[in-house]
Amino acid sequence: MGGVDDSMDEVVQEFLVESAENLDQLDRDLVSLERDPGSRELLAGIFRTVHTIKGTTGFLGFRRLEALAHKGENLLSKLRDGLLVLDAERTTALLELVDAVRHMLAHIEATGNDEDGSDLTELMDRLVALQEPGASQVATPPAAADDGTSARARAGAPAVPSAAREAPPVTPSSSEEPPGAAATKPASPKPAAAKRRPKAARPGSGAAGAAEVTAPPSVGPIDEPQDSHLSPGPAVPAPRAVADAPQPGTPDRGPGEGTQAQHTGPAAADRSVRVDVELLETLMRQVGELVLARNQLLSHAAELADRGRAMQRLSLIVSELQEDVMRTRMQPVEQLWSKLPRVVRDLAKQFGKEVELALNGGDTELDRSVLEAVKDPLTHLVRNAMDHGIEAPDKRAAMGKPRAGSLSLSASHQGGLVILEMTDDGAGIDPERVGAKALQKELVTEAQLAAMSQREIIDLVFRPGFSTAETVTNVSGRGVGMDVVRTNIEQIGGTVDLLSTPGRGTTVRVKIPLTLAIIPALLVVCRDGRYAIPQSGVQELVRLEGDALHTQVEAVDGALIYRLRGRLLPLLRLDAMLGHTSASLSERSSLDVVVVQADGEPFALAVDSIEGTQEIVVKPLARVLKHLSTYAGATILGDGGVALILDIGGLARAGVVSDGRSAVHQQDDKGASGEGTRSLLVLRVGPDRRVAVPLEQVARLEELDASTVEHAGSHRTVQYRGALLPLVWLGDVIGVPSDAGSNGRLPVVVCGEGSGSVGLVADQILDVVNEVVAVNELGRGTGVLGTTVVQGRATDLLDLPTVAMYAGVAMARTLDLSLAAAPEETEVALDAR
Amino acid sequence: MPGDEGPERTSLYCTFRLGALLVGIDVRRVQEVLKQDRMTSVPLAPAEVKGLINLRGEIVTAIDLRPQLGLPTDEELNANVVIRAEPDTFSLLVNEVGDVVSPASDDWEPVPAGVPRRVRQVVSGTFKLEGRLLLVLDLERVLALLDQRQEMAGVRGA
Repeated sequence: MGGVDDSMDEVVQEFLVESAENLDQLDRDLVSLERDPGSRELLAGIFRTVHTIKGTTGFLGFRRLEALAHKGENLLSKLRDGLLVLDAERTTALLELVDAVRHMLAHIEATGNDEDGSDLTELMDRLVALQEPGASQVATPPAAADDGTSARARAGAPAVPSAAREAPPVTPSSSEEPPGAAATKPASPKPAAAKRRPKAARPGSGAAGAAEVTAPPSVGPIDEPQDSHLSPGPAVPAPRAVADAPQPGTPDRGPGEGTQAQHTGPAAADRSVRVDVELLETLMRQVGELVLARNQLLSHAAELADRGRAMQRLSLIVSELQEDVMRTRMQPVEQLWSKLPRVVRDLAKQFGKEVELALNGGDTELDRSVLEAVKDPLTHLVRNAMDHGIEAPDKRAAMGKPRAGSLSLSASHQGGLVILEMTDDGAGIDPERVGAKALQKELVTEAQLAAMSQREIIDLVFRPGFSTAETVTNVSGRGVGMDVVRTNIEQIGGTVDLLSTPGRGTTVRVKIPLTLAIIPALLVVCRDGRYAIPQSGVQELVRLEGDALHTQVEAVDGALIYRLRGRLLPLLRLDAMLGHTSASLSERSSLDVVVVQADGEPFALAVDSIEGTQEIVVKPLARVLKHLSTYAGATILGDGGVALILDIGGLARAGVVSDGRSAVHQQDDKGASGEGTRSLLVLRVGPDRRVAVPLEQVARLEELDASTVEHAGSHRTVQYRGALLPLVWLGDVIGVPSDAGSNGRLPVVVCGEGSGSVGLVADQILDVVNEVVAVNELGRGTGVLGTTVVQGRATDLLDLPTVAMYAGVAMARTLDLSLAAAPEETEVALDAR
Repeated sequence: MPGDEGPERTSLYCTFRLGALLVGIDVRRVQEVLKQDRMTSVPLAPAEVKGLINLRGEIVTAIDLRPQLGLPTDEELNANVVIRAEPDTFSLLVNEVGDVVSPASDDWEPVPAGVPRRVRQVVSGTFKLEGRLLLVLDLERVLALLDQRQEMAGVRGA
């Protein structure tokens, strides 16, 4: 217990945490300042931060760090006093200073001293040299603008080679400031402050708050600040009042503001405290328990009689408490966004590209753990877009595009999920190149490739070991790119989608759950289960009764179509989608329909009944259930029961998009084919055995190349649609010699969905028939339920769950034999015998 | 193979009945034992997943190991042995919860020959208790098995 040492360690720890935040803020401020060099407010903040770092490091005895910070402080003080103008080169030097400090801090954290071995002389010299008025502009001849090499040659051996320095443009740093006026300009115009605090200080644009930053290696004027019209030539008087005014207007920005507080003075710092995340989580759990206890009490509220009012009050307080505690964990996406201008600026210089960055929806809130988890994948996506997506300016110009590429990121809540979307207008992804690359890397065979859709080919970029970069750079294209992105996102229950048009650009859409977010949801009932549909995906509720049921719903080749005010929507039946069998529509007197929208495509979902709306807390499903695209999570309802949250997009894909036999398709086949008849797929196994599979269990029919069969443990599998499909030779199951695959082709019946998928290998796929199924137990045996007569011939009915076990696949109970589908029928048939 | 080195380090087992079998779990892995509450079934889920339970605000996935152990699944399971396996919490559904036992390490035996592979997959060894055989469940392998179910599904197509 060395008292002095311990308290010293604490001080250092405190310093490290604080400095890390300060440095992040510096990054943001410097990039903003580059666009708006006149802002004294920003400069003063930056100066204060560097000054604080210098002071503390001196006190703690980190001499190297102190010396470096001191040089930066000197430069900044001259900038602040208006003796110098901030140009691109000074910005770059200051950003490098930030990086060097950050590097040293990491070293201090690891070893306790600041001797991190980096050579700071060059950077320090440059920081000193740049203190001469006009140094950078005199030093670089106009012709050298945009030429990184000449700039480097001039500056000597660079200390941080990765951040290629930009030669400064000859023109004054901002079009806003007439030459000469810059140095002496007394006060900053209003937009300066507005940009520094994008959230707090933009009263007009609240929810849609967008921050735009441009980071091109500029030719000519650096750029036109988007709101330059707000600052006419003569400086607006009393800018300070304007800058500070918006703050009282946004009082609810609690914890997130801490990092920005130091610039507005000590008063702001007093408003927030640092709280251990563990403690917050504990608090969160306890509040959860409190809510449940409250709910249980509420059900006895009637017995409380005159204490009812106290109960109500308690209930209200608990609700508010719950909400507030939840909010402590929510952080705005802005926290991610704010790091990007710097990243984009640096990358733009490094790649010699011009990029306009647009950031939208920064006020979308996300649970902090989710935010943390998407940080790295998102940065990687941005790097990818900068490196591979957006073309070099000359190439863009030649293609008739603007020289500066556009990269926009947006965040929004949608259907209980947060959607992060990144769009660039770059080269897009060329499926041919991707395909060729995948072949070269032996990720797919030519036959597989030939069978793939464009979309599937583009999805190959997510395969491990894939990298399309023709030249591997140190930024992206290390071959650990997109697959890691996808893995990371999927770990938190999210998905990544790529949409790309060659030559036009790429959109990456990341959907992540809000884990702890409370969302309004519609509760529906299907069989004995309750399901929540995120309200944001719900368009309207319709009850179809009597004639409407027949005039507005039609079956077209098995698919149900619902006519809603002249619009034709696919109608999916939730019970069928969930693997239950559903009675024919003609037997129903009414139908509750929820019109939902997924990925812009509306469809109708028929449910057993609609229960009402409720605010729900989204909880992720256990890993073993994550693959079920039907669900977005689960939630606990007011009465303590658990409800699954439906993923509308997943349902749409399963029901509408699937190209083969879909759940929708099947269930109505039955309705159309009349009472007691079933659709059976008839197969030949061995020379003459006929077996049948209920059609509703068949997902697809395939003919696979026999050479693609691989052994996995004791099982045989094929790669199929990006996953392993276990295969079962039906001949082995029913004990008939089979020569399936002897001609190189394997007829395969794919049954089940997801992890319950299994491929049945038969000798030949014969036919699909509608027959009245009367099962005779005569043929009962392993994998065979019994024998029935199909087309006048004895045919074995397969017991799919048992057959699937041969492949080690546990078939979902609900998918269990379709005969369970119509148990009465089976029984009747048996009795009749 | 953690189980093969014998049971010296863990001597307490929470026992329960599953069908005709007496099964034990290292007591340190058991968070709690409770009577079956309401359960929400999950359509389309792998067969082992019997449903979801609300455990004081946390959603717990209830697992039925009987198919894996080759047991008939007709009997009602009404006790839950709750097991935490970050980030998820599972509940093993059992017929009835027994005592916490502390068997002598001399009674330890590896899984006897002739026990089907699927049982071996999840059982690390046995104790010869008086009059009964206690199968020691290897939770890691159970969880790995559940993960495999997920891997089988593979990467979802776009």
